[in-house]
Amino acid sequence: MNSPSIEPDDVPLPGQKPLSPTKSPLPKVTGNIGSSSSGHGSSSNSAPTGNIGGGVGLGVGQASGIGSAIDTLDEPVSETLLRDLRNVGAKLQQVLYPKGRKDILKDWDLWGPLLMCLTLSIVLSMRAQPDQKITVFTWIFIIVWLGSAVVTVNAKLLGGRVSFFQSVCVIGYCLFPLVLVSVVSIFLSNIYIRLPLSGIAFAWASWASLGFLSDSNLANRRALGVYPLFLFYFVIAWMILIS
Amino acid sequence: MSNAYRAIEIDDEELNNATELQFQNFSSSNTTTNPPAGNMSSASTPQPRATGFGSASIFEPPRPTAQQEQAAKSPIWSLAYYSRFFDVDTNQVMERLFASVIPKDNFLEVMGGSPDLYGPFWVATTVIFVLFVTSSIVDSINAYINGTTYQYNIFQMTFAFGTIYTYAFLVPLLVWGATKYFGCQPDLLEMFALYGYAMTIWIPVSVLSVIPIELARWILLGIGAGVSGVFLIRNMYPVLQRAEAQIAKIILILVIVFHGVLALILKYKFFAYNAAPDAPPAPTPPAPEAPKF
Repeated sequence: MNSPSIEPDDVPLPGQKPLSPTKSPLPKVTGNIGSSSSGHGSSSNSAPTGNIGGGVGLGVGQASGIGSAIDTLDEPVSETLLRDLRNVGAKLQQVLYPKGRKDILKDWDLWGPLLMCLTLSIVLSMRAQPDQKITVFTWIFIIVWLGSAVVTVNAKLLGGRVSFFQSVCVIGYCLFPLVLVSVVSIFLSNIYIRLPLSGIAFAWASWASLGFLSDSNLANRRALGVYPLFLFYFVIAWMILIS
Repeated sequence: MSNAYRAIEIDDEELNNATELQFQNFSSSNTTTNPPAGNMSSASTPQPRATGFGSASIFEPPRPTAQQEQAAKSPIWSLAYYSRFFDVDTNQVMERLFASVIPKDNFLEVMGGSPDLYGPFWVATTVIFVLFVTSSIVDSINAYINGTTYQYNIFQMTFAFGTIYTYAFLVPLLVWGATKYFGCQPDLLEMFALYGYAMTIWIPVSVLSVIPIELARWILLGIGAGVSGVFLIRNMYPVLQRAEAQIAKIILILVIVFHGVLALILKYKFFAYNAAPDAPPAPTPPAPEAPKF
């Protein structure tokens, strides 16, 4: 309270606790440029804590030099959340329309994949039979997270040079076309519309993730590393198709 | 291990021959990093001597590839340690897949002494998803014929998951344990590879089983069970022979029984044909039951 710059920014939004002064000295980052504690310390952040993908240190991505320049301790929570949301949005845009810097996805974060996974699970679970809703939600959740992990581990075991979390991040973000189609499919039940839509979404998702994962040194085994990716998106596309 | 000692004893006079063969094989082999001993065993007609499992131990132990060397140096809890089981190229996997669908060669020679875990895991996973996809198509065709609306049954995915992974990983473990107990000296990795690649035939069988003709489905099931059964037994026979005749017979019969149970489960759980209009399209509890006509 002795620094005059703090006071105007420190007004908490209605319904929120003021920013807790007992932040951990090493803010948990999610690997975004310049971001630090994403939503940490605010009780209104209903998403799981910033531990997901965080705790890895400031070295992830290219965040190292920048975190010290901006004092993010004093900014309002909305600013913190918006910065991460903008980041997620930028990555989604990169997936949808791969122009511009390719390495924007190298700054991995797991918020995007989580968002995709939850949306997909909720939408497909809504459309399932009443006694199967929970199982469907569980299966989609498992397939998305375990599937991304297994595809990544498979690529690594074959000798490819991929970073685990980057790969999981890319695979998760590339689910976006499928999530779009699943939301659209809530309103359109006709199989003749769903089939081409799902097909396009599958192709789009596969092509987008291929583009980002293509520079791991798999040599003669590229097909072996890529096939599980296709299987993954195919299963999800199928579940959307029959929902 | 006794196998290693055996290799050293036998190989003294064979070393020269072995080197010559080795050299020949380099010119004729493809651009894979297959260990030379593997190629040796396939090109040097060891038919009278090939006893399936452990044939690689009669010749020199296979020279490790770069990936395997790296894996050998890594600690057991690191990922790199397990990459020795994934040291295959695309063309090798394709070769093995074809050899498992058309079981005429000795599969262990096709693998060249270096079994992989990539095939078993991904073939099993593919079979699971293909089963789910095709059984949902089958159910929707049933619903269409009966005039009801179709809702997919997610529990078929759960069931497929459980059955296939059990068959592809637990059963080989049991068979390996049994044969090891009775002194057959089996190789666990080869067991996994055999069972895993044996599942390949179920993929085309499942896809074709959407044909809503009951006889066609039974014929396809027979083909699937037959091909994978022949593949399994042919390649396990040398191992089983090392036990006493009585025990070998029992284990063989058990293997066949497990295989038959799998085939029946696949038929009744995933490709059931329900013509009665009030029969639910979703399958009922796991015990095999007569199809309702």
